[in-house]
Amino acid sequence: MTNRKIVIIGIVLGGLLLGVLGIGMFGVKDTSRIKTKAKLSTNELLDRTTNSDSLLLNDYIEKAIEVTGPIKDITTKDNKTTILLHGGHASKLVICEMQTNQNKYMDQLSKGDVVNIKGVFKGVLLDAILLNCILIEKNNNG
Amino acid sequence: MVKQLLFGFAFLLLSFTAPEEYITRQGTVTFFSYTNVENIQATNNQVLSLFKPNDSAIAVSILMRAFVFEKSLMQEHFNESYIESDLYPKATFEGSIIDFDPSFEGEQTRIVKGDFTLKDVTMEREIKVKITKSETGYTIEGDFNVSIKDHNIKVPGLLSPNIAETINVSFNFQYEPYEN
Repeated sequence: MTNRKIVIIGIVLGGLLLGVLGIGMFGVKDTSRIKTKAKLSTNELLDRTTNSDSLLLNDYIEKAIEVTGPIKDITTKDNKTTILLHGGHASKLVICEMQTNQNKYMDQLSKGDVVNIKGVFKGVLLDAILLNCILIEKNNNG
Repeated sequence: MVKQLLFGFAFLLLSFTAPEEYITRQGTVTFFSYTNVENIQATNNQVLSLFKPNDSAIAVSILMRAFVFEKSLMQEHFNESYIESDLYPKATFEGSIIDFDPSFEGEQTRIVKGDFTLKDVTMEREIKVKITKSETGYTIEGDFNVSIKDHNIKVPGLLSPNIAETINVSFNFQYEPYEN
């Protein structure tokens, strides 16, 4: 193997290593690049927090899921926007903390809009909580 | 006429009655670890807390996986090695505010006494808090220190210079009436 080939292989391997470490050390993986584990309505997701299917939710933890439902509220804190979706449960919501690169789309959203959001499922308190969310689709007609 | 007046009075009374329970679904909890090697900070903006002013009672539930770190590797170590979030997904606090006056408008500094549970270890704590009453609800904020040894948080020897033995935890909860 010539010296030139060894240098090129070294550069490629070094680049790959830096890329892998770079994601781990310096950033969080973009949710758009994560495979979707499940697609649910807000009702389907919230139903699973209250009935015997709740154990199924363990399979979704740290996985990306898509949730569709109407917007109850939109809040902003520390440059991070959170969309709260509601369904058929009076006191339970789906809380989606959006990735900061989604801020540019937030002006287009209003309470009552039906949206499809993909995010990383973290678990359930009173509400289901998703972080690193991205907007997939918006339907004004609800 | 009398009936109408009584009905109107009852309606007014109900309108001005303060809610019994307040909620925040998006409370903020931040923790800081300061060492000579590095400073680590993580924030959770999705903390659940219920507050009953008339009983001076407060309950907090924190989903450990919802803490966001600057570096994802730190987040991974936190959940998998230190906190073991699969086994202990939540931290909780249940307590009451000593000498709290729910009718007092404005700001009051009080002590909250209660049980803080992390990794199945419950410690009694007294935390100084600032409580502010506004037109829309209450804000409660404060901070306290947590010793990692108290809660069986084990740090590998190689990483021990990077993690402080005492972690500072600060919180800010903005409550609104809970219509459940």
